[in-house]
Amino acid sequence: MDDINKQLKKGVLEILILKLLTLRDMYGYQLIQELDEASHGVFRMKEGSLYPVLYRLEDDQFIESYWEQVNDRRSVPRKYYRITARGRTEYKRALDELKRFITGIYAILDLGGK
Amino acid sequence: MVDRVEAYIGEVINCMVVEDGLKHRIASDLRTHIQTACETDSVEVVLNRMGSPAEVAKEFMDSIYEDKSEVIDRLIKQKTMTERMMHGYEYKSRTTILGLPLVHIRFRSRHDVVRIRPFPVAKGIIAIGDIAIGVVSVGGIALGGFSLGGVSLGLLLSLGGCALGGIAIGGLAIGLLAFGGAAMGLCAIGGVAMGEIAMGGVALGNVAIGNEVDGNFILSNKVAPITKEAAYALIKTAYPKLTDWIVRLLSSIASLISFRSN
Repeated sequence: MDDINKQLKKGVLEILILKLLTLRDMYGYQLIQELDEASHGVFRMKEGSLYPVLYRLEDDQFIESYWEQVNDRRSVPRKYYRITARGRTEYKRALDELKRFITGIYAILDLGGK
Repeated sequence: MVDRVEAYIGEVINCMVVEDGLKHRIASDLRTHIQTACETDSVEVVLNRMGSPAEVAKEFMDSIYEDKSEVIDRLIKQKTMTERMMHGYEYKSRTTILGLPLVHIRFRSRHDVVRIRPFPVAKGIIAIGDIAIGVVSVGGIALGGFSLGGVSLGLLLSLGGCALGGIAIGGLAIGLLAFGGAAMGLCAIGGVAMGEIAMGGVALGNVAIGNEVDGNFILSNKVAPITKEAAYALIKTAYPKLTDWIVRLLSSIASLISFRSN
């Protein structure tokens, strides 16, 4: 991740990962690609930033993992992550919190006119 | 390719300071991650994109140790404990039995080490402290029914560096039944044992069983290995009225103890 925006990005990374997993199950490499493409390069993650977040989410039982061999025989088994019911609840809670947070930020930034 | 990837992962892991379980988890995920990425790109391209092993390790550790609240909690607990020890500590339970608190814990302040002050005494059914007096007592000096301490006096059971009691177990043990490096008692078992019945490397007593023995009734493994039967016969001869199960118990202990032979 870009050093300048590192802390900003880390703050919302868990929510974004949970969001992506509400769409479908994904493996680590795929999550990195999706974050990069969907954000038009804003969230270009390194492995060292992604996996510890996945570990935290998994340890908190917000997501769970399973191994799957895709049809192509040449490919390696992949470790997929899926969101749990607890994870969906957490996602909604965190999203509400984030919205309030952003509203608060804009309220301050708008002081004195734009 | 596999060797190149494994070497890379090995270097990443070597750069990390995390617990072993987490290292395995990271290594496994990196392996799968790289293999997946190598389905579309060459291994060199993938590894170059990831960065040097040290950079990858740093990125992981930055994220892993991002939430330091657990570390802070631990530091606060350690600090609190240190403060308590510095200023002394006392806890007395509200529940009392016969006027004594069920639990009383009392340690002196570390400042008292340099000032000459009387040691605080913990007194309770369960007492813990520098000096502890209770039915169950644990402390530097422990007195009570069941005592554990540097110096302990327990009417029933006493364990400690120096233990005195009904049953005493310690470096120096003195009791009706004493076990220890040096044991003295009605029945003493230890490296050096002195008593009415003594068993040990050096045994001095009316009945003495061991390696170096002195007494009226002696059994030494210098002559022959000590058997249960021989010990039984010796003790029974010395104390014909002694209850049989006690004699059997003592003779069993005698046969089990391995006395050093010259």
